[in-house]
Amino acid sequence: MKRAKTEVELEAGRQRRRLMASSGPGLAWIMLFLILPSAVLLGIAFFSSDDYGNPVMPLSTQAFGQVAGYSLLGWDPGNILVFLRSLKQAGIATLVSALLSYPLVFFILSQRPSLRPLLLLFIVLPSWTNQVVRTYAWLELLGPNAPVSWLGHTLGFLPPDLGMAPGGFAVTTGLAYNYLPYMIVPLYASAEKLDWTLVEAGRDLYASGLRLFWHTVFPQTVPGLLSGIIFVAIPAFGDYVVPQLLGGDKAMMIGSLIANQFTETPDWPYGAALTLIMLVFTAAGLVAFRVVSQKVGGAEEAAV
Amino acid sequence: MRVLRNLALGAVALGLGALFGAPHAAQADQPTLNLFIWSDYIDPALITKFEQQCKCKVVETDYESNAEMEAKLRAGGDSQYDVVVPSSYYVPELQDEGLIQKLDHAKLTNFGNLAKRFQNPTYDPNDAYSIPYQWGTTGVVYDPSKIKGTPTGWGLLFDPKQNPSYPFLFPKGEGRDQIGAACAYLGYGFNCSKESQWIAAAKLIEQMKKRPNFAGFVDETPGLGQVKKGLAAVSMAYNGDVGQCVADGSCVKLKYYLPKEGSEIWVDTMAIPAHAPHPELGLEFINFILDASNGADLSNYNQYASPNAASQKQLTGIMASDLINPSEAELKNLQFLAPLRGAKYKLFNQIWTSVLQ
Repeated sequence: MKRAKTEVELEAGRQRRRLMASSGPGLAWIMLFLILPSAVLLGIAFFSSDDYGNPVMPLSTQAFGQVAGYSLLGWDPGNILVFLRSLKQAGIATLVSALLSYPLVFFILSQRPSLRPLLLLFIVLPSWTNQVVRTYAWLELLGPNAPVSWLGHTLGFLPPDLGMAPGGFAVTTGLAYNYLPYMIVPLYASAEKLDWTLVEAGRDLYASGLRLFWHTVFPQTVPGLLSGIIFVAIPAFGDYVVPQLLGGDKAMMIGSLIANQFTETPDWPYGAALTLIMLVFTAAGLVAFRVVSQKVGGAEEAAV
Repeated sequence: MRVLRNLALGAVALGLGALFGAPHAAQADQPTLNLFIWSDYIDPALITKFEQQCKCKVVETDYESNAEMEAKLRAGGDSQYDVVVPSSYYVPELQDEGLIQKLDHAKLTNFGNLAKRFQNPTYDPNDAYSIPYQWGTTGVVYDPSKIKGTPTGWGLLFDPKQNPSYPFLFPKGEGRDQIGAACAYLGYGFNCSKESQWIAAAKLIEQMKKRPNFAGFVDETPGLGQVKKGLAAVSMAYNGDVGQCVADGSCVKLKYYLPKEGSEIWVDTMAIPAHAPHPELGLEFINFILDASNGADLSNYNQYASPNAASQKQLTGIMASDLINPSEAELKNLQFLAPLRGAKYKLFNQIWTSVLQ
């Protein structure tokens, strides 16, 4: 008996070692290059800043006052506007990419199975090129001399001599374009497993069109949609390249605001405090989202 | 703070050391000059020439703005690079922060080649920390096929009547040129320094932002690129960039001028970071650039004016034009940006941030 027990223990030890060996390097990598630098950055938020924006002692919460909008010039709603603007842009970009994704995903699914991986590859392919390069391409596509702007001039919704870029429309387009694959891939994964018998059942009950989609297809794709929303909304919220190039930074977003505090108008504690607040909001959003999605998922299971 | 910073750097160094330790050790016997410079700001042929002269290797790393360079020096770059190229108004700041070191003038045998005008400047008395690299002016570039009349002042940017409908750009940067331009337009002079003047200038820029044909905050060099492509009709620009594209024929139609209310003359300088690994190679490089024919090669390559008096005879083509060498009358209208120190700098940054928001 005693012998057998040691065998089990030995096996458990072996498994533990194997686990350590396989996950250790990854964990060390994350600790060294993600957790540690982030911790240092967040620590900086609690220092005072000297005349050149360097973090110095004593510890203070002054940077958080700046986040709330207080500066040497008094209170200013600028930061709140920047935050709401980023939230709005991220929301619109997520909505647009979701609306574009559904038809695309079902188009791919309607093709021969051998063709599907190739079509998916075409969706991912553009992201092999640098984001900055692709964004510059959009700048030309939406510029004053481009056909899209010409159409705008002719139809009268764009003043002559101006282009579609830079501006809010261009930023939305750029963000939705950039993050579309992150919506399509998870959505495809859940649509692929779709139980078509439910759709047939819906048809038997004389449902069609939107109603059929809404009651039979949509609920089954919710898990994919939820992952897609997270994958698109979070990076779009903090995006830096698209608002700068396609928006001309006319309407500042939170990514640019943070970047400026480390470069052009240096104030490291302020920049770190902004980062911390952004992280807190993102994490809170994720938790809230998870609670909601569990409720939705749970209700579904109960219904089934 | 240094403790925290060193902790982070130590952690990163540990990781990188483990990864790249071996090849590093193998290179150690050949000395290396680590040059940290604006992108496309030195002739690759000059680098090769210096490598042959010093029997060393040159590793060039590029940056796009003074702020980017300063941020990297702060994050430990002051012990990584041997030569950096800050603009004149950044020199006192880097010196205050202890990021650059005093230069040993005994090693700079070619110093006498510098034009008198560029010796012992206000931003760096006795050239203690910096040596001029190249200089130029900041003005306005526009497309005459889209702008009526002949603009002469900053009004082309700030007065809606002078450009009612075509898209125009305004630099983002650190705000110094921008607030300066608005101050000059309002009659306070390019180097305005009072809080009330800054706030008035900020309000003017905020009004400008609201115009439907304002096409965004884009810095001088990419801004000129957009005007060249027809994406915008007006932008602020550096004379050397305009010189480059006039020389290669890509912007012959465009016009550049120095606004009559006053504008900026700037000098980019060479300095050695406080804990440079090879300061002696850094000095050798600075002295190499101060050489008459090397200075001329440099300017003939990147089309920026040379502060080197001994180089002037060897300058060719557009380098001899008044685009690159402003007249005496124009020079009187140009000012160096005064460095900002202490609480004033902080106040300025907050005003500029609120403009951008």
